[in-house]
Amino acid sequence: MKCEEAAEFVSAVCDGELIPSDIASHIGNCERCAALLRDFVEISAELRRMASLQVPRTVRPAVWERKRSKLTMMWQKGWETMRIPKLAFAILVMVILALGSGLVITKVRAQGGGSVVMLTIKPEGGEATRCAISSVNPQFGYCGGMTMANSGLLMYEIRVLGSESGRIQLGVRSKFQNHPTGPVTFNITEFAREPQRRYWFEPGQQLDLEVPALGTMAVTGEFMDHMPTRLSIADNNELDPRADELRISSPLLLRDNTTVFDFDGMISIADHNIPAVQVYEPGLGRYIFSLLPLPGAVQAKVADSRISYEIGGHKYQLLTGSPISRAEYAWVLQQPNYRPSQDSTGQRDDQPFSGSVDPKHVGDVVVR
Amino acid sequence: MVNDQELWGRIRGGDASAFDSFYRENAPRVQVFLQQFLGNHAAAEDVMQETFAGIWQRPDGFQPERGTLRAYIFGIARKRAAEYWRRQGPSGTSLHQDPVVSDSGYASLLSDMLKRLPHEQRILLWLRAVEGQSYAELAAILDVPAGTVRSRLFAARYQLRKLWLGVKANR
Repeated sequence: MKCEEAAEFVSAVCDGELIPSDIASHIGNCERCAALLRDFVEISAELRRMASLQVPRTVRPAVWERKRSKLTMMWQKGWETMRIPKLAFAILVMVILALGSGLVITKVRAQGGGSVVMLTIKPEGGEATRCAISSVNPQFGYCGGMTMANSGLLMYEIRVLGSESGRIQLGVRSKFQNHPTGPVTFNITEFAREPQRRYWFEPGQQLDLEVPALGTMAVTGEFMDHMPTRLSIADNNELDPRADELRISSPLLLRDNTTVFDFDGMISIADHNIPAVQVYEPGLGRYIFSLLPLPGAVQAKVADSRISYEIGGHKYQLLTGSPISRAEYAWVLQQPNYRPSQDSTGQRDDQPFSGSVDPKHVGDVVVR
Repeated sequence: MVNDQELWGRIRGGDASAFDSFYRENAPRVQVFLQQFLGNHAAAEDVMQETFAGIWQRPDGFQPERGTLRAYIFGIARKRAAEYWRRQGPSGTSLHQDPVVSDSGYASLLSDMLKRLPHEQRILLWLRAVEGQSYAELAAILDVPAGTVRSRLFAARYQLRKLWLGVKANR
């Protein structure tokens, strides 16, 4: 064997790698290769010594603040058509607020023949959110939202009350809760008792609506000839999910190519605050999709709008209506015996629901 | 002792305290790594901070099966350093080079020799010899096969040895 052939392996030995036995034997019997090894070892040691001299004892202190995602919930089209019961929704809001996450739930459908106004609502000290309402179709005649503004929580509802020659009359309810402490509950029936203020609105105009204790809520908008897709209303209206987002939109789960559930029209978005989404279907139990590993969960492959995984020899595919995440992997936990009545959310066992969930609380559920 | 996966979970979950501990533990070594390639303390400090801030703001790239969290950080730091060079353009090569800490041994000379190696060789040698990254981790960081890591490491060592022996002979 020539020393040139062994030289690369001398370097590998220096790194603690195992090498072929014939080459190892040559290095042991060859003074030239042994000298090369000694030099390599000496240089590596000297490099470490040099690094030790240079490594600073401290580094510039840093403050780690992550841009907080805005807390926004939107609703539209009436409770009866959503797959979230009123009570469940109220409790879902409570859970979300208690944990401080963001979630968007909406269900809209393209419609023809109606005049739609895409509203942008920008509260003082908060980020803008959007919602689309129809001036001719009562089914899409209102929308509402919750969003963080300054250091409090703003709830609002905007309804179309009428329209005439290029303008619409809006009925606006709003309520601002400053420095909310502990869980905040929201009940749409109670909110309906808040005073409704009426405004005539023309697209292109900006309405500065006064919100007691907050300041103003600016409303702008433009007419559209159709109800926009869900993504245009969601918090991040781009097709590409944000870095920490997990979007489950209109999920359809297949097991060995057979439909397990179909949540058409549902959007649940989780982020770094609450990085998992749960889907509950009576009789099937709960499915949790998380960007973080969960005890008992299986690793799943994420590709565009599909999550693929295997459990018990069965191949599962979750197909969704939009890209799910930037992450390559997610974790899926199936809890076939889960019943909502087992945990503290108070949701009904016989009603399906979806929403974000904190994986830390998944383990609290007693699975019978 | 928190494992990488758990720590990453905390970071993703927004645990600033966990990330700060991680930063304090690893930032000095990342900074000195960057200093080898940027040649300038201030630039290395800036890029180091950019590296950690970027990971904090967008914690979405670490894959435990590809290596340790430390290896991941060095991989990101390397990319940030490359971006820095691109931003600086040709004038970046005239960056002020900080002297190495005074030392009666070979440290200062070795630092100069290291700068005479191509970038990729310097990165590879540093990450292996100083940071102890495995061949698999180096392959993931540089996006090359493990066999290529071995041959490139040899080339880097051999080149540095030639310079090293020359200096020793003249001392």
